[in-house]
Order: sequence, then structure tokens, then C-alpha cells
Amino acid sequence: MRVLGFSKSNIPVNWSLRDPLSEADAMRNSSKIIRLIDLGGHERYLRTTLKGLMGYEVDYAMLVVASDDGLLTMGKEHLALASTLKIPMFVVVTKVDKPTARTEEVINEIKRILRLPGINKLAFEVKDERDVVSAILAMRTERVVPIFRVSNVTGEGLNTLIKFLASLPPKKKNVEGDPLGYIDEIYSVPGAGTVVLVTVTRGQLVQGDDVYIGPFEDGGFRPIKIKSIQINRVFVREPLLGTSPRWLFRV
Amino acid sequence: MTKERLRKGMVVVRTPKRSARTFKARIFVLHHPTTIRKGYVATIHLKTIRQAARFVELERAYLRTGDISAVTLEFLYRPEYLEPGDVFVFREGRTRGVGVVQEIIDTS
Repeated sequence: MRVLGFSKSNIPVNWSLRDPLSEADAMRNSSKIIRLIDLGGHERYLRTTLKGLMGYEVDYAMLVVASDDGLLTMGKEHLALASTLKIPMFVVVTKVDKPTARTEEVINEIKRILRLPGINKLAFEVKDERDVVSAILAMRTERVVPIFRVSNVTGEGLNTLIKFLASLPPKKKNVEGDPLGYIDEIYSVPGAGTVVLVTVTRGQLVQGDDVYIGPFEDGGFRPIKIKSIQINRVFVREPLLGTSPRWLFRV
Repeated sequence: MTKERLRKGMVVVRTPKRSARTFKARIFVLHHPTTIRKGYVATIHLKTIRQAARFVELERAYLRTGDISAVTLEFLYRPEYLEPGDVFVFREGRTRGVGVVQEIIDTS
């Protein structure tokens, strides 16, 4: 997972950080943060991809398709899966500068797959920055899938994509109700004890809360205290409602 | 609480909950090379939960690609915390499907 931070004027802050990959620095210097979770395409990595899609509370799915290889079997499967799971998505066609790129052909193929019954979506080609707002508004219908074309060699289309990413609204988080978090990773940190990485899907938890963890083998739950909370490597006593759902608890 | 006692897929909650070993779900088979019958086992992915579950009851004798059915599923190894309305994916080899949890039946 990487974080991309945006300043108030929607410029990525990572560019001006001493370490562009530092989550803490990005978190401290941004007015908006997006998490990018890179998932494998190959069928062998499907279980990891599913974990990413199911376990990280993702707001959007970005399907990256190379314009020389086109949409392969797994790409179609990922498209169908994101659609059945009702995760709003957009497609980025890359390497459009390559001499072997079949960009038009690949985009038509993506459009064809999107139209299939069962997926039943409409493609919306985002040609330049003026289309970004309409693309975001159109996505609200839950039927429209924006398509971007970019080249990381010539930089073509990148500004449009970045503007789109900066303008995407976050999914509404359920901050009220009975708190619920799913344990994803468990670490034993020397000096700190046991630390768990939790995906919080609902409610609010603060430092010092008495909570329960379970179910254990017998189906029961055990009481535990949250000694501290970290989000994006920054200590937070009371997480702001609706921030990143990935919290690190020292228990 | 030591690291060894905790597992992926466990939950952090305010009050102790009822966990699920067996549960009812509605499933949609996205792809299956042949047919799914009683006794079929697939891996279930729900949030960070990942565990194999057995199809112990089906609405019909068998299910094929494209079928929708109410089923009863049983986790093979340990109970998990589920809530009605939770969405999951199941897979096994080339098989893919999605489902929604309807009701928790059995805890132990």
C-alpha cells in the first residue's frame, strides 16, 4: 500500500517530500490522502487480490490495462468481480506511446466487456481535464466506468488522471453504531508488545478503549485494552471520523 | 495477548458477540466448470476472513454457472464473526462465486 497526498490546490504533495514514500509525512502535509493498493493480476495471486478487494474497505477499483497486451482473461474476471461486488471502478489504459500499442482496439474490447449483461456498464472516455468533473458526476449513477489513456514515458494523460484521483469523493463511512474492526495483520514488536493492523468498517474507537477480540477456537471473545492507535504511521489518540480505515492498535 | 493467540479475520468489538460456525447464505455462481453438490468445499473471503467452508445444504441437487441459490455453509476449522448482509467471495480452482450472509445458525 502507498499513500498519495494532495494539497489544498490538488497538487500531489509526495513530489515535494524528502521521502516521497513516507506515509507520515504525506499524512501531515496533505489536505486529502488516497491509499493505493497494488494487487496482482495473475491468477496465481487471486487470493491476494481478493484480500485486497474484500479486506481493505476500498472505495474504488482501478483496472490497469496495458495497451499492447490488452484485456486478458484475468482482467475480464477482475472487471466482473468488481462489478458484482458493486465497487465503483475506472479503467486506465497504459503504454499508449508504444509502437505496438493497440489502444483503440483495446478500448473497444473493454467497452464490449462492460456492456455484457451481468456487468451492464457504460464506458466514458475521459479525453482531457475538462471531462474529469463529468466523469465523477456520471460515476454516481453506478453505471458509468471512466476510461483513461496514459503514457508514463511521455506523460500523456497523467495530469488528467491525477486531477481525477484528487477529485474523487471518498465513500461514506459508517462512523456511528457498534464499532467493528477486522484484524488483518498481527505483529510482535519488541518493546511495544502485540500490535494488530485492523480494518475498521464501522464506529469509532479511541486510545484507552476496553474492547473484545475474537472469536477464538471456542467461539468466545476476550477483553483487551487499546493502548495506542496509529494511522498511516502517525499516532492518533482519537481518529478523525471518516479517515483511513486501516488502524494499527497496540493491545 | 500474545501474537500466537490472534488470527487474521478476528474482530475488535465493544461487547462479546455470537460467532458463526454454520450459516445460511444466498449465493451466485459466477463460474464453475461442472456442478456444485452437497459436500463441496470452497475458500471463503469475507473482509479479512479467509477460511474453507463446506456446502452442507443446497436448494437444489446441484448448482451450475449462473445459478442463484440459498445454501447452508459450514466453516471447516473454526468459528468466525459474521453479520447478516455481509458480502463474500468463494473460490476453488476455476470456481468463482459471490454470496450474502443471511442468518447465523450454529455457534460451536
